Order: sequence, then C-alpha cells, then structure tokens
Amino acid sequence: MNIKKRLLSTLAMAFIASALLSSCGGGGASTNSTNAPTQTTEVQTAGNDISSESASNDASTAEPSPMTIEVYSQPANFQGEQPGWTGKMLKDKFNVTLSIIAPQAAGGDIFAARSAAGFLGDIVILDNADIQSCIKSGLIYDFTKEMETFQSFDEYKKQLDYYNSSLEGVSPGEYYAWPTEMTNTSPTSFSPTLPGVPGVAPTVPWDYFREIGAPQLKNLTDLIAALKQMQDNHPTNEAGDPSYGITLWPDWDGTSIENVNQLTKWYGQEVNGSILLDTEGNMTELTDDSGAYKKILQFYFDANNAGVVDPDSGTQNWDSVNSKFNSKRAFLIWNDWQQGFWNTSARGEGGENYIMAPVDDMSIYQPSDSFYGSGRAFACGTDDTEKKERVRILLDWMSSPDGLETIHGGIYGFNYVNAPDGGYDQTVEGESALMNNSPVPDEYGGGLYADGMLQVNQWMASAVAINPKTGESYDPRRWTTTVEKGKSTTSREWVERYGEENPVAYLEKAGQLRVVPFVNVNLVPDTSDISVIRTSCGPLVCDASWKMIFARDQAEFDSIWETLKTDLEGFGWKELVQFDKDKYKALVDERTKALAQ
Amino acid sequence: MGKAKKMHGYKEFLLILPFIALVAVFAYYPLYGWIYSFFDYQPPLPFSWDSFVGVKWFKMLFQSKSYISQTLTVLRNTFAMSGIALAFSWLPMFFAVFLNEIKLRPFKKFVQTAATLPNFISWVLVYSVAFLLMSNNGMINSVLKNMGLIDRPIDFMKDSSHMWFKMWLWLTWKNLGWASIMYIAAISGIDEGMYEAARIDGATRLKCIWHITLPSLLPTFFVLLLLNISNLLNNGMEQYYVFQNSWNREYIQVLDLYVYNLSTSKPPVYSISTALSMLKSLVSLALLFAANGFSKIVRRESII
Repeated sequence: MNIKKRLLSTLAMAFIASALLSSCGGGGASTNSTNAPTQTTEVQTAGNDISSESASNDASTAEPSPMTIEVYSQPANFQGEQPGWTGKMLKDKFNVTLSIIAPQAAGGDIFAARSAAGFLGDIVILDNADIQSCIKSGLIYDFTKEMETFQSFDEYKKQLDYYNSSLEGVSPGEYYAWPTEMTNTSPTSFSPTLPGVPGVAPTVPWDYFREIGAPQLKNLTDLIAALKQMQDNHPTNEAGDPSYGITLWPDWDGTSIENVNQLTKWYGQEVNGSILLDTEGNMTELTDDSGAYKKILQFYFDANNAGVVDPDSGTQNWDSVNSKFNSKRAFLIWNDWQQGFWNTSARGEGGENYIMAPVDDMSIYQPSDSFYGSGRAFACGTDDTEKKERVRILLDWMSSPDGLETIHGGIYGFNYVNAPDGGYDQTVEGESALMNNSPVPDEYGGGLYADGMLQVNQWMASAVAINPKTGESYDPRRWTTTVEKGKSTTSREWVERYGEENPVAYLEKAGQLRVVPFVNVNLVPDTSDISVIRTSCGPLVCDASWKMIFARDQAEFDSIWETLKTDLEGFGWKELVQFDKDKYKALVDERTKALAQ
Repeated sequence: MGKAKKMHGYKEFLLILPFIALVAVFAYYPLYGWIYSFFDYQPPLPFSWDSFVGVKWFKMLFQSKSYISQTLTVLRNTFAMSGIALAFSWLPMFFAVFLNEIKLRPFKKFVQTAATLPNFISWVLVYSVAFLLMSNNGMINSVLKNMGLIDRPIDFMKDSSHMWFKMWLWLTWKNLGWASIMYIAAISGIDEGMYEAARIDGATRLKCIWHITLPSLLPTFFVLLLLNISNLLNNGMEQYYVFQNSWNREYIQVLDLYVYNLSTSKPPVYSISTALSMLKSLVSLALLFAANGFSKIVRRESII
C-alpha cells in the first residue's frame, strides 16, 4: 500500500514536471501547433528582445503561425534545426524553423526508411533519378500553382520547362521540381567561381615555382621534374613536417580513384562510371590503354618513382590530407576549391598563393555554367495545404534575388555594404567570415558565421548567376570590388610571366580550354543487376589503381593493369560499359542540342 | 482449486508476456526483412509483385567463377580470422588465472584496468592511433629514423603480409581484459576450502591451478566456446572496416564487411546483401547445431 502511494506520487510529480517543462519549451517542442497557441508565441518573444521588436514591426501583416518545415536534403552535411543567423532570419521573416534531414549524416538507409513511411520531408532536395522515382511513387507533389507565383519564375522558365518536361509522369505545363544551381547566363558560357581560375588545372605555390624559374612545362614529365625540384628545395614546411609534391587520398573513391578521375580532365576526358567521355562526345571504356585514366595512373606512378608522392597516400584519410593542404605540405593541387585551403590576400601579397602552372600539352575539359541545373532538384513533399503554402513562401524567397543574395553573400550590413559605384562591396569582417568562421553579432542571431549559413547546402540558383539588382554575380568573389582587391604580388608576377590577365584567359588564348555545355539530363538509373556489377567492379579497379601507383617498376605496373582487365571481364564489365555508353548517350545528345541553340 | 491454479497460471503468463513481446518484436519481426532478398527492391518505389524475382540473387552470388571466387575469398577470410580467435580462446581464461595469482592488490588492479580499458575505445580511434604510430611519418618510423636504423620509412600500413595474425593481435589487445571478466567472476566462485585442503596436502601453487582452478573454469570455457562457434561468421566489421585499404582488402574483407560494402554502395544493392546475410544466418545455425552435437558426444551434455 505504502509503495503504491509513493509510486503514485512520484508519477504525479513527474507528470507535473514534464507538463511544466513542455509549456516552457516554446515552439521548438511542438511541430504540429497549427492552431498557434498565443501563449507559445508570447513565451518565445519574451525571451528575446530583438525578435519581439521585429515581430511588432511585422505585426501589420497578420503574423503567420510558427511552423517547423522538414527539409530532406541529399547534399546536406548537417542534420537538425537550422542554427544561427539564417535560423533567426527565417524565424523573423516567416516564423519558420527548418528541420534538416541529411542522409549524409544519418546514413543512406534513411532514404529507404522514410520513403517506405510515405513522407520524406516538406521540402525535398534529391538527385534527378530519385526525383523521378519519387514522382512515380507519389512522394512529391504537383507544385505548378505555387511555382508560378515565384518572383524568379519567369527568369528561369526556360530551364524549368526543359527540366519538368523531361520527367516521366509530369504533363506539359505542370511543374513538380526546381533544378538546383541554375544560372541565368547561357548554356555555353563559362563563369569560373573564382574569377580567372579554371575548374581543374595544375596549380602550385607561386613562390616555390618562381624560385625554380617558373620553367616552361611541356608535358607531365616536366611537371614531375618541377615538383621534384620544389620538393628538394623545401623538403619540409615551416613547422618542420615533411612536404611532398603530391598527396592523394582514397576516401572519395567510387568505381575508380577520384584523384585520378579529376586529372583525366587535363587531357580532355571525364570519367563517368565505367567510361571516359571526351569533349567531342566520344566514349571509350575506362580501361582503354590510350585513355586518360591510364595516362594519369602512369603520371602518379612516375611521380612516385621520382619520390614526390606522399607515401601515406592510399592509406590516409581526408582529415589528414586536409591538414597537409592547410600547412603547405603538398605542392600540386588541381581543383579550384582546393586553393581555399591556403590562398589568402596576405599570402597573395607575399607571392605565396597557389596559382596555375600551365602545361603545354593539356586540353582541359571544362563544363560550362550549370544553366539547366546541376543534377538535383527541389520539390515539395507535402500535400497539407497549410504546409504547402509555407513551403511556397520559403522556396519563393530562396529563389528570389533577396534570398540568393543572402544565401551566397551573407548578411547585408555585416558581410557587405553598397559600393560607391553600384554593386556591393565586402566588409573586412565579411571577407574572412567564412574562412575563419567568425562570430556573428547578436543582433543578427549570434553564433558562428559558417555554422549559421543555410545548412541545406544546395541552392536554387548558382552563385555565378547574375543578380538582377546589381548586374553582378551573387558570389562575392566575383564582384568587381573583390576582384580589384584581390590583385596581389602573386597575380601581378604571374601576369608578368605569362602575359595574360589570368589562367582562364591564358588557356583560352592557347586553345587549351575546351568548354562543354553542362546539361542537366535525367540519366537512366542503374538496374539492380548493373548495380551489382558496378559494386563488384569498383573495388577491383580502385585496388588495382592504387597498387599501380605504388608499383615497384614498370613491369609490375603493366602486369597489374593487364590482370585488372581480365579480372573485370569475369564480373560483367563489358555489360557495364555498354550500359554506361547507352546511359551517357542521352547526355551527349543534349550537349549537341545545347550547342545548336 | 483447479480453477485457482489455472488463474494463477494465466497471471504468471501475463508476467512473461512483455518479454515474449520484446523477443517477437526485436528478434522475430526483423526476419520479415528477409523478404527483400526475393524482390528487386529499389527505394523509394514500394514493394510490388512485379518486382518479385524468386531466388535470382542467390543464383547471382554463384553465377560466374569470379563471383564464386569472391564469395569464397570472403568466406576464407571470415573463417580464418574467426578460426585464429577460436584457437586462442583459452587466452582470456589463462589471463584470468594468472591475474588471480598476483598477490599485490594495487598491481593486480592496475593490470586488470589497463587490460580492460581498450575495450571501451572505438575502432575508429584505434585506427587513428595505429595510423599515428605506423604511418610513414608516424612515431615508430620517426624513432627508427632518429636512431639511424633505417633511412627510408617502413610502410607498415601497406604491408599485407600476416594480415590475419595482425588483426588478431589488435583484437586481443582490445578484448583480452574484457573477455577475462567472466572467468574472474567464475574464479571468485570457487570454494576457498578446496584450496586450503589442497595446500594442507602439500599442493604447490601450480598444482592448485592445474587441479582446482582450471577444472572449475572448464564448464564456463566450453559454454563460451560453443557460443563463439555459433558466432563464427559474426566477427563484426568495424575493425576490418577501419583497417581496410587497397593493399590488404584481399585478406581483410570478411562476410559482414562484404555485406556492408554492398549495401552502402551507391546505388545500394539491398536485395543481394540481404540474400548474403540470410545465407550467413543459415550457416551460423548449422554451426551451432554441429557444435552442440559435438558437445553431446564429447562431454555427454548439451548446451541447448
């Protein structure tokens, strides 16, 4: 009896406590509070002076009820509630909290689990193939009425028509999906994210390269020799850690080694699954003896023989590579974004920035702007009228000049201000906010800048798209003011040496930049059988490739390659190659069409 | 009277009902997932009879020489590594026995703690430590270089020789202390009187171990051994996942890792990995019965 009583009272206490806690918890606790209990709003605004102020400012337009919108985002790296300054901005503007679901953080199985449950998210961002199958299985809904009200609808109508008409199950005139990263430039123009920097090109620290006389490089052999000289001059970085000409990592390998795939573009071929696609639309299998994949393997192998490849390549993980790039322990980089690890304006002034070292025999495969989208799309995953309306408001903002300015450029007043001659000008804090992840003033929501950026991690228009308000790109790096500020000793000396304004101009003049139209095609997804073959062949190719790079001699290099080709046959490689050739034929066709336009 | 007893029976049944429900939900309901292996399942498209493919995936695992040899390699690695672990499964028992013989309490506690602690470190961290120690710029190479013993770093991570044994060493380092806990508990349950009697009869310390401690531990040992046999195919994958690279994959890819690699590929091949793990369950079941039968013959008692 006694025990019973005590148990009852404990339970009662627990109940009261939980009731109290949940009433204090505010909006975050309830996702379905569509009836907008006024109490909740009061609790929230009372806790935050600024938001209560802005709330009263907006009070003229009847305040929307608080709502949590779930965003299922394939590319997101962050899972949870959108934090920081963007979080606050969305809350103030639309009274919306974004809850982001990220398969990259939660594991890919979440896609199967959530789609089996019949709801992915209110907003979904998926690869083209998944968008297609989600339309078929009824997981995403018709968004025609809503999309037609978007401010930017007319600006991107051509691309939207193109994309939606390619989807099965979408009638003409209907809009289900909004492709990601579209531009309003043209299907064949190329606007580099970093002005003057091609997507992939041999890039080295200018001070070290200048030190060896910035020699003319005819081919990869010369490049290796230059790297060797640089490494001999600087066997360690300033901290005394060993540095290498080249460092590689296996984390991003798929059907083949990613570090090789990137470099095949130097010689005009792009790896797509089991095939090499060139700028003219010709396709050969990856294991072709005269293909760029083998050529780059040979390059790494020769480099390793010359002693300029980091011996930990192949076993180290990305974190370890990251720290090497950050501390100038690797001299050759290739992707434009890798420059972000080291280049700063101060180092540029000292002549230490990384910059392209042209190699004469290259013809670089350069996709154009993602005019038609980048291979994913935004769509609406809810049929609830009220939610759908809020999704409409949100996506409208995210695709409008105001939204894109914020997403790509940051906070007006903190990151950038109006420039005297029109356009925008980055502030001193704004320039370094992303790189240093600097603190954001409390009035904008506090927290750290990079953490507070929209964590959906994919945009409705590309950063290189033109902002109709200023006539310049959304990306601050491309603003006239920034380019002017970016001129440094590094770039001046480079211009002096090569006689061109920047690397892109140099390559264009030399006829070494092959721009291919970037088309957004809904490629045929793998069947299960093909998928099994691909999964079985991938490790074979990768393992053999790594072993070839670190082979003892040329004979071993060749014999691993030959064995690989025979081994692959047994797993159905030929079938896979044929499948990929058919698959990418659609892409080639679209390219031809885009060029004809 | 009979009625009251019946009521009592019902009541007692109600008491175990929650546990039956738990077992049903967590042990039997997941078996429903086996159905995936008979379909061509591609999320987000829901199941339909159109995608029924029968035993296609099971056939696929054995469709060509290459696939068969791949499956065989994976099985070989699994059995080899589990086999080594099984062959050394007496190690924790001896560790417990010797630990028990240490008379200096602080030292004994220290050894036990130091041996148990690695069990709580995740494999991911173990690999980072291994990489820091054994990479080309790692500690071991730096030390050897500074001592003038080598002039080129030794590439430990790419060396695939004796892979199974090396993996067993890592496993033992991580697990030994933890695995011996069961035996330490069993030792404390042995009647102190037996030791006293033996000592009066003039038994030495070694004789006490041989004639009293070990025989008392044997039942525990055999139960654990049989459980290990049925778990032969379940040697986990975390360890192999973190240590795998292009040079050692041929020796390190075990069944669980293979299933994982298949199901996390892009796009994932759920169906064939389900088929594979289903085969695994069947083999495990067969092994358990075999081990139990063996136990019946040798020790004249069964464990099930």
